[in-house]
Amino acid sequence: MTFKCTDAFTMNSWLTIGPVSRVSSASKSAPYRTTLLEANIAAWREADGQVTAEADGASALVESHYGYLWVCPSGRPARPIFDFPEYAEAGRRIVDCDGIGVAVSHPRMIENFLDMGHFPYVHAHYLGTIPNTEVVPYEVKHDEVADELWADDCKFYQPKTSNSATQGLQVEYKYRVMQSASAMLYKTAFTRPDLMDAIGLFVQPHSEEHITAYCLLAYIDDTSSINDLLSFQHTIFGQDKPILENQIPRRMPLYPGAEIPTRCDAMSTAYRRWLLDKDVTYGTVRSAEAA
Amino acid sequence: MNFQTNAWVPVHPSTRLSPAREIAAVFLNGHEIALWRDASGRPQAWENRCPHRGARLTLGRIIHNHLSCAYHGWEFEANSGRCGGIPAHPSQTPPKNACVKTYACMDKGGMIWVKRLDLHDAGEAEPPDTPKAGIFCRSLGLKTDVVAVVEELEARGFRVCTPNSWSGRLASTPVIAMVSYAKERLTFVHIWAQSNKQPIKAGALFPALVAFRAAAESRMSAEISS
Repeated sequence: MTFKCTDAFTMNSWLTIGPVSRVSSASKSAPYRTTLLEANIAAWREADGQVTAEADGASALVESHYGYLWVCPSGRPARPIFDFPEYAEAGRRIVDCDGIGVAVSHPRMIENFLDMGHFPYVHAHYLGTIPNTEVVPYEVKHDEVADELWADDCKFYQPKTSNSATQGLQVEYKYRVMQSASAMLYKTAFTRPDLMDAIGLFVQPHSEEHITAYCLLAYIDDTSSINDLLSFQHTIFGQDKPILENQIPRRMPLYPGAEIPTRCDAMSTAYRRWLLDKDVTYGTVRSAEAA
Repeated sequence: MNFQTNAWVPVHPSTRLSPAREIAAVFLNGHEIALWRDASGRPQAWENRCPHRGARLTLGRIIHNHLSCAYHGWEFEANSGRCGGIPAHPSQTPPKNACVKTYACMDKGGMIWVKRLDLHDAGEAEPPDTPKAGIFCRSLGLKTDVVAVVEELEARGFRVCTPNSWSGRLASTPVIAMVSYAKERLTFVHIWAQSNKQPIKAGALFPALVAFRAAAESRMSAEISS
């Protein structure tokens, strides 16, 4: 086994190894090199346009979707890549924000992305502000067909919800977990409050405690420059990074009583339960003794 | 030398922690501690981990005599460590189990001392009496274990005077060295100069501290390479 992972759910899922642009000038002799689940990945584009990937020298199953490269470590994907209809929707701007390395496990990263409670503290004056700290109840659903988690009807007051925002706004959110390391959020578009911007978070677990978090925007916004959109997103990620790197333990503790949630953590609690149901062990701690 | 796990350990000089202001990161035998003072000045030693989502509490701040976590603003009460407020649910009473783990904590002899509270044998009620410590010089962090530090102190003629405290001379200045095991390959030595009569010759003392650290750390490297 080249991948240092024993849980079947992670092994049979699609994990990103980065944007497709990484292989645009890569070749077999000079491949794009990265790591996934502690295996060394080499990827390149063949003359016929197909992408080839190897993990520790062995052939690996790789596909391109939504501007990103996806590897299924086991070579036996449990299901096809998730749907992302907004990616191809007319009128949306697709902006690849690329990745930021974070010394944390992928479940901690995903959970941070699903969380509104930290907005006024970690993203003060952008995504939240004191005293508007309350998280009102929202609905969590499990889509059993696609095996995805959804949080609906989320609302939060945001002083500057995006680069184009010029004033505070009561923003509506929807969150979606497609895989253990991939999530999306949909939020009110400031320039078109009847529509929702979409943001994808694709996490590449290099190891149990080191990731790269990639962010892909499918935005309604047609006023901001690409630089402004990127810099807003990097500002937000830059605020999360020091918090994520100071969570103890870095892996997500999934044993009873390890961490105490409250009502606004309904989505986080559902995600943790979903990881337990799938018997995901990679990036998690399953007992107090192991913590 | 007493490193039993229920022992009081000197972790931080008392004057370097103000009431209701900074939160210091210190260690106790491998445990990370967030050290702060409430508005009355009483020292607080807490596990450096928020019970909600595991964020280090040393990233937080002190508001209204509570320690507020940097991640979600959960507020924890001085002394008990109990959660006194969850900003995401302002009208809800926080759950009782949302409580930070606390350690025993006292000022004595110029230092803040910390002790575990979760052991069957509670140990001493108070930190040991220490010799008149004098003037605080600095806390040295040494990338080595306690054994190497003690060996280096002994090699320089230091003798143990109370648990965790050693007396001797550095650059001909009489000093007290308070030793605390932080975690694997990290030991702190808090250096006090016992010079009440003449001014401390810092110009000579500080190079001596640097040399002491280098010597203690090289003992560890020698052990690893052998």
